Amino acid sequence: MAVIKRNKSALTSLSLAALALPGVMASAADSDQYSVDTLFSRYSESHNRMKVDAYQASAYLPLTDTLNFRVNGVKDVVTGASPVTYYPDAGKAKMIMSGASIADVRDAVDISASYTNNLGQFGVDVGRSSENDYNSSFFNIDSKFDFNQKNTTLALGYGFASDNVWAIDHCPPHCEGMVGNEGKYRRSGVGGDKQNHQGLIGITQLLDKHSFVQANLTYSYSGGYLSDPYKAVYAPWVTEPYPNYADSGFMHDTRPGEKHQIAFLTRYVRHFSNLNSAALHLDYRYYADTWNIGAHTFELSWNQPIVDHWSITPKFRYYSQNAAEFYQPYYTSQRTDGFYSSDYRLARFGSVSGGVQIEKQFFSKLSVGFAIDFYKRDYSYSINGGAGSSVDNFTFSILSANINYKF
Amino acid sequence: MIGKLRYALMFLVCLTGCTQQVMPWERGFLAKPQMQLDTDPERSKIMKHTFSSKEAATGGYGVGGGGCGCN
Repeated sequence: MAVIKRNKSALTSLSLAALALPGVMASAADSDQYSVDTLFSRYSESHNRMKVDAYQASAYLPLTDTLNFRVNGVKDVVTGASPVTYYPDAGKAKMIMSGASIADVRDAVDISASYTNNLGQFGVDVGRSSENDYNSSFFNIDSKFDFNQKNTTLALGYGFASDNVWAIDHCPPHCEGMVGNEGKYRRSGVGGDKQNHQGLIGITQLLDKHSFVQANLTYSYSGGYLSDPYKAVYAPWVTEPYPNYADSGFMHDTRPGEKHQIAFLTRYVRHFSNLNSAALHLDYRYYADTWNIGAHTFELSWNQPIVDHWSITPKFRYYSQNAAEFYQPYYTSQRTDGFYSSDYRLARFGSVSGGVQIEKQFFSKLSVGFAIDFYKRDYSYSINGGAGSSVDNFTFSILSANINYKF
Repeated sequence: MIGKLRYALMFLVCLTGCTQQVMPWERGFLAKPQMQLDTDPERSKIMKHTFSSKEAATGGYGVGGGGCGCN
């Protein structure tokens, strides 16, 4: 019986190998087996800033040979503090933090279906994400077509998201003008709706029996309220008091109402038979948008099977971006276009990050993994230009553990 | 941005010109789990979500919503 089972498993693997083009299968779990994947991760920033505990679960349900479903759920528990704005102090930017007042929970769920026939693979994904101060509803459709004797796959995709963002304040401490209304309340004068459209065209091409390459081009258009309702900018010409801080000389983060983005991603994957079937993954992404931000991302990982179904994967990543054209750590004069943002994510900076993941598989059904990742952002690491400040340098770590089970 | 888009499209077109034909029975190595583009989709999802909430660049890996008000 055991021999028959093993032969059946080998036959299934061989069939999958023959039929599947790498990268076309969304994951190794996309086979004829039901599976459940769970992941817990803890994100911690330096200087006692943000902490996020994330709980993820995913169920894969292959209903028939051609139709399968996937359900994903995520809960993020967010606590800590975040930069609000900056002001000049002896010629240098000095940061004002939010105080350790952030406490939010994000719940997200999405359901996807995928159908395969002789023409190709067609998928649809619908979902919603909600927080105290942010709601997002979205859907995505994608399709994949094989040609050139399944040596080449063309991928096409479209995604739409409709989001609503606002700011939540707490009373106390921000009770200006409020009587008998303690607790959370929505800050007036900021927030709004935004929409995002995304398109993708990609090609996956086998190079030889050990390697393949993928190239994706994505275009994205965002319109609506694209500012951050919690961020402020130092604007010494403003005389009215800034909400909740009763201080003049500050104003709301104000960004353009439109953004066009492109990203060009190339991925190379190579197998090494003589190194116990190790795999090298190399990614490069170029990004540009109409706020004049350009960015380069390099990623490298090495997946090394060891013995007895153990594997270890070290990873390295480098990222560099230049500043948005309207970004400044603080402003000393008014801009003609009326756009102002001191959000540290629009500044010039670079980052290096790396980590290691260890995985162990039991009985070809149960897989348990653990990973640790470190990230260091530094103004001086950027190879791009523009304004920025070393006051925004920070680090974070992510510890994660996963359990996956195939039925 | 349009100029860079043109280079990206040229790269996509040239991609199929420098390859060997791989027959179905030669794809055993390519079908191994470690050769999948996303060897760990759940972990990959959380890492991409984290990077996109701390950096300006996003996109390239696929289409997908579910944005956040991350700070």
